[in-house]
Amino acid sequence: MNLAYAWRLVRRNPRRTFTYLFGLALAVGLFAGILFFVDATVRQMTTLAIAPVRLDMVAHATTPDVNVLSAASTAESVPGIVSAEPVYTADYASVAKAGQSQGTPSGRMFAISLSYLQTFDILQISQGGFDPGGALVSEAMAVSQNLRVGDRIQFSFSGVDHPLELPVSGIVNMDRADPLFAGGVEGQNAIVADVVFVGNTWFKAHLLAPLQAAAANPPTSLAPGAIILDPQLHIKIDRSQLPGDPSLAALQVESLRRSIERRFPGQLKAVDNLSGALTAGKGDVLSAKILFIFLGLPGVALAAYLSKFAAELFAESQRRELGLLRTRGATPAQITSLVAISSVFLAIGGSVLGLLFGLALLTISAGQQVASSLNPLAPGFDWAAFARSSSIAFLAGLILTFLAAFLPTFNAMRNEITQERRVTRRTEAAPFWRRAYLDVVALAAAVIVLVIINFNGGFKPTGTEGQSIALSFYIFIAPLFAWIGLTLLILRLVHGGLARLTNPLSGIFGKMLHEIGEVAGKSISRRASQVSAATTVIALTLSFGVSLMLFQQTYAHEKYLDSQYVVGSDVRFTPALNTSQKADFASQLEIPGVQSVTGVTRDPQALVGSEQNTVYGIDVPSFRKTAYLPDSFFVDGSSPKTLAALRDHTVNFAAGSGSQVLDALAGTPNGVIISVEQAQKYNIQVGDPVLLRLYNRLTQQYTQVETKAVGLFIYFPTSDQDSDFILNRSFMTSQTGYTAMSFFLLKTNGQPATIDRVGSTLASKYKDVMPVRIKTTQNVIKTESSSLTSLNLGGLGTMELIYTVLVSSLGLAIFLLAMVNERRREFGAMRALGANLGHLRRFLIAEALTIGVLSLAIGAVVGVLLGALLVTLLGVVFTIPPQGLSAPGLELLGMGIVVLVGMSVSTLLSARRLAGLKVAEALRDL
Amino acid sequence: MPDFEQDPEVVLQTVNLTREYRVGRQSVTALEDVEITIRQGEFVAIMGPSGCGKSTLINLIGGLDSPTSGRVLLKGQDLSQLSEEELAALRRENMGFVFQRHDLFPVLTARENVEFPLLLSGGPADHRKAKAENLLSMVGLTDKADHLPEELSAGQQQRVGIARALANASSILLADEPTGNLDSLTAEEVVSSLIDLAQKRKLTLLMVTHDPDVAAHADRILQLKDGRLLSDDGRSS
Repeated sequence: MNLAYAWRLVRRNPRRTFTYLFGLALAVGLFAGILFFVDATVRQMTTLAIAPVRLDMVAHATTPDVNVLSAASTAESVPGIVSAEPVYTADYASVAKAGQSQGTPSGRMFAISLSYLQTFDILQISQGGFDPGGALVSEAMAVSQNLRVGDRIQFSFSGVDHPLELPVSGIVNMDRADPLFAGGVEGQNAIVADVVFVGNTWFKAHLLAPLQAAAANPPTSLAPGAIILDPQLHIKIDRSQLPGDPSLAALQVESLRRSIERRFPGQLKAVDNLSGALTAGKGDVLSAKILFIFLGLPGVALAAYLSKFAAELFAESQRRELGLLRTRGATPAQITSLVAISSVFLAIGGSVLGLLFGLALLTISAGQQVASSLNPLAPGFDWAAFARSSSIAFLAGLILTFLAAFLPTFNAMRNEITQERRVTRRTEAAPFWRRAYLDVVALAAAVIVLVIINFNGGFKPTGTEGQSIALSFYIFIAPLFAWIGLTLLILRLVHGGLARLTNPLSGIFGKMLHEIGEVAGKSISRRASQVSAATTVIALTLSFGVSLMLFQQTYAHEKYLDSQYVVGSDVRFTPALNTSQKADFASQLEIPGVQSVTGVTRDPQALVGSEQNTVYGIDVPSFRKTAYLPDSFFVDGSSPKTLAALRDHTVNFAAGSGSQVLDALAGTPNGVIISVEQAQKYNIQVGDPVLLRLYNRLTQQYTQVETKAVGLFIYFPTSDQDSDFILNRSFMTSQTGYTAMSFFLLKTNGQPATIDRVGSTLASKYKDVMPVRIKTTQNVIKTESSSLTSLNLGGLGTMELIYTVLVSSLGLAIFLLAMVNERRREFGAMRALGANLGHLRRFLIAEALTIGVLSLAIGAVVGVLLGALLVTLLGVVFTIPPQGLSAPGLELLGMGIVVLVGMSVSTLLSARRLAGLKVAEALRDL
Repeated sequence: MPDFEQDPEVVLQTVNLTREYRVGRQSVTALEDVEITIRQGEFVAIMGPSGCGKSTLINLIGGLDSPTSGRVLLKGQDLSQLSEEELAALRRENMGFVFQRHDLFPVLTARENVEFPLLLSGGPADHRKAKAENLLSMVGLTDKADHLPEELSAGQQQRVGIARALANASSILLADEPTGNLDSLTAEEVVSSLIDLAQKRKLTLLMVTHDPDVAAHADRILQLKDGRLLSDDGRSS
């Protein structure tokens, strides 16, 4: 029987039920949407984490006589392995151009098969091609040996009687080839500059046997650490079979590694290059979850408060109804049972609606890639994660209903019957948080946490090597307190302000809305609790949407600036090594869309002291027009603060200016500007002489040049290529005798479409003319290595934006419709006393205007503050710390307009409801 | 039956007044063919068992509800010919309502509640305030003018309701069980106030009541049963 009564209780007032269900569905929906989004994103984490890894696994032979050529086919039979390429590695003692007597120091030879170049995207041939009967030489070796395609070179190996000669068939770029140098021992990774690639067949015919013999009896002339012969299998696994979760993927990869070793017991030791990326990915998963939940949780809390708010709006009449039941003889146990069962009905209904809403929200807002991972029919759909997230969201709905709908009613059972039946306004004590000034306490706690963090050096990435970023939970303590404190403070201020402004509000609305406005103003002031609660919910929702838009725009802008820093400008054009360039080559690159071009020369073999360093030569006038040079890159080298930082090896440099540093370089022909890192290392200050040894390609000798330090920088365009020493180009070319540019930077109007067009035009222009590499900011943005920053923040932001608009508009609708519903009797009495429909509508509009205007104003201000806080806290995800907020003006305006339209529609719909008010029926309401 | 044209003292008439409600698939007749004529200044009590149609009758007379058939004539004007807005204006200018549960606006003080009907009619604020205070003094609540309804007793709340009803009642005062929620002593006081004020202002008073002691003060008693007018016991005052 209780079930039937409870069901009737739910059905009795469909508007009340629907309003509560809707509020609950919004809360559960957003929560579910965020959980599903996190699940879907995590499913991509493995792919993202291992994307930069170009060589999955290397199995090193434990002895030189292992036949990797035959082992390859066995390895390929292991499930999960796509291909296994046999590779022989051996260090040669010296190499010389045929006909020259003087050889150069040792280097490394790799013997590969033709299919290797298709299997692994490691080697980038910049000239010629791979001929199994020839040699592919590294660019560094081509420069040092002055080699061209067609030249013949002679190799000498320790323990091999005769030198071997091969023609140079091509030149290869080794920028992505670091994995080739990983040793069989963890951590062993010595990169060699002079590298040669030959065919496996040729190697087997000419070198395998002698090197195996030499390995059995190592010659005394062998250099320490040199490799006599290291047979290897380079293994590519089937990445599509890896689970989306990096933790599980790491286990599977480890299992594959053991499978390989198991098939060749004692013969092969496999080194897995994926584990490091997956471990970093695991950390990124946790950071992503923390980040998304942090960004999404306030929205969920707001929606939950909206649901509670919707329940409280009906609390008055529900208490009177239940009080009536008690007067008619229902026991507290019976009423408790009724309310509990009806609450369960509401919870189930609202949570189910919420789950559906969450799925719809994610599908609409997330990118195609994320949304498709929600397809239950797709292979690999993670039912366990889906069930887990759905259960969590469902449980949240149950808890919310318990707190919002059941608990207040249950507590009311303790009150006297007559008090519950009283029709008039209840006077309640101020809530505990207001009396205890919890808003002030929370804000103070936020400030204290921020101060403590700053004293400890501020927010720093705490990730392990390879991990893009680690966001520890403490980073969110300050904003969590700030958010709680702000919420309560807004509630206090709005409530206090409205409650004290009875006469002013009455006067303002009296002027705006005539006679009924006076009454409306008093009503708003004396119902400050309800009005301030509605205002706070909507204002905070708006602020959340604003702050997220600001953060996303800043993030997108900083991504672009990061990419400009990596590329150097909008486009970097790198012709192949040793290609001839006419003097006007730079002007040939000034195609439509290009605003300016600057050529940069580079010496990767320069020596500073005894260490090799890369030195760049720039043409200051064209460089400052073309390259990306924010002042934040430079420091004031003469400032005592900078001198102290250099001396003490801290990072507290005095801010400098790009134009000042470049002016100094331009004004000093032999000037050099240096990175702060190198300045600290070599103890160089501005004004000091700096001796460099530049490699002259014509004489093949080093030339010692005296330069003068004229400026310091923290970052320099293209410094991911280790540009720590920058000279004037004219000075550098005069010393090196080499006038060709290593690469060119091109500046456009910055529009992505223009950048892409320039890149593709240049690529097709030089396709059959010379080998070139073209890198644009768009390439970098699309293929950036950081898996956390490449996560779909855009999808989350769209979800939050939809939510902001929904809650802002519908939050007002819930308040207004609830007001119409719950004050039917009051409106009926007004009509009975002679108020017309216009009076009632103006009454409603007054409340809507108050909530709308206040929430928009507060939402905007708080949104900017929260946005600044988010950017400050999450600035660690950017390579270059952001200098300020970027505001998407049009999008913000658009959101404001949509919210205004939503609020207006809500007000109009609520006002229309008043037209259907039947006075006689309304006066019969409890 | 005399009408307004024949007898200007006739302020209110109902002609074959019928009201039916749809409850699910069934039709419930709350009033059937009720015909009454009321003259200016009369105190008419409407009595009958629960559910006999008393509140329905008074709602129809006040224009708060529409009849299924029949007419309500107020000073010869057929209320069914008026729009909702015209009815609201009519109530604003002619009628006062005293509700069973006073229905004071909880966020307005006693004075502001009484001012409400005056505010709807327009007029300067000081005039409204003075009139409201005058009405409150008539019901003996001058010292409670700035109190909110929750700060008043049930009897005081109902007296404020009476003062509010008098604010715009120029010809008719409708009271639907004004003492239903009061104890007998308070009820006696409230009814006395109501009748006294109605007489002083020469208002026509229609009052729904269960209480025979209250009805004893009336000039006429209309007895309703099952939606029909059982008797119209006219008495001379």
